[in-house]
Amino acid sequence: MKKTGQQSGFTLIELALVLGVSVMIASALVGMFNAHLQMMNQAAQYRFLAKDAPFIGLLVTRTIGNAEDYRIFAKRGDAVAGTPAVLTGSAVRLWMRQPNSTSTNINATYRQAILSFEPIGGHPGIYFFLANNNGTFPPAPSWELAGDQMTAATFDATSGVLLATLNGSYGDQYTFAAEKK
Amino acid sequence: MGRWKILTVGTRSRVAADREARPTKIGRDASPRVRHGLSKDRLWPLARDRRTRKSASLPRFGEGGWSLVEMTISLFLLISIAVFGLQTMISGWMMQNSAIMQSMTDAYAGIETAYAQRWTFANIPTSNRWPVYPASSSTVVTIGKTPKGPVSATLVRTSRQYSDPLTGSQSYMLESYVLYNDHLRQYCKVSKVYRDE
Repeated sequence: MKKTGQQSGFTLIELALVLGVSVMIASALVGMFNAHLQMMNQAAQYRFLAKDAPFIGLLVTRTIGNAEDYRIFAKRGDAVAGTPAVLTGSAVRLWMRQPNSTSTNINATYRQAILSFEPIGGHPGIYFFLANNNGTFPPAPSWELAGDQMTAATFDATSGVLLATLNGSYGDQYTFAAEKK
Repeated sequence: MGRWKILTVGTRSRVAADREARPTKIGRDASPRVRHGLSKDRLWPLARDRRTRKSASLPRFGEGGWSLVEMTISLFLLISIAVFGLQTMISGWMMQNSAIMQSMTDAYAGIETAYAQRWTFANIPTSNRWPVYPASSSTVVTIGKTPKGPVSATLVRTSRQYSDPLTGSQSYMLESYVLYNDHLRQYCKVSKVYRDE
């Protein structure tokens, strides 16, 4: 067949080349998109360890570090009631010396507080309950150390050092020494 | 008064038709060509029409090759942007991993510091928890857990002992080294606590 100067359309080779290159690049793009999605997913899973846990650990360490003494309880109710302390639990009761206090009343000399992991209003977190000068704890927390992905927090003094362990939603765990250094 | 007539052509493109839609003067004032319906406007649009009719609807020879080049360049640019985005993501991911390792090893070094501060002084030499240098103890410990599983590090403990020649009192520098790798390098976090009588 005679090939004229006005031949229109693509040749088979051109189409094959275009299709081949397009398929290769599309495959590479799909692969990269999948990798991108996986990384975003993993970054979301590691967010608790990367951001929340160190921040909560720092605040808990500072809070407990200000206390003169502490006791661990299974839960906040036990800490409020003053039941016998345990070595492992989710609540810790703190005794913090009041600065410049000359009172002979122990509740005035030592301000008490409870640091407890529990869900309040459906939102699990570490909550801080500060007792008044009479040693009475408020029903509502004074402030909250909330971690969106935190599922559990345990205080442990079995080894003689107060260790706090924070658990995340994806089986992740962060342990630190939560006491004055 | 001359008459105005719109000349029409049998087969024309829209361009040609638009050009011919312009009124052409017919009459005595008009040139002989115009009287015979052969104006300049009418001549060249017809001639041009034959060229443009095909070129308007179908690509000329070689246009397919240029499309291939354009498409390749476009896709190359697209994939370059995607690779750049992926590299940025990988960098962020590595930074996040590094931050997690830093916080975990810091936390474990803090635990070692707490133990060194709390350890009963009289038990320091007998417990062999911190062997006196040049001896040392090395253990693999779990410093935390990630969604992928436990994170391990090597813990090396040693101590320096000093006896005061005047009073005979003992003092120790308790040292704990947390060693960890990040696939490329090995890092070390140090905890040193001085204990004396």
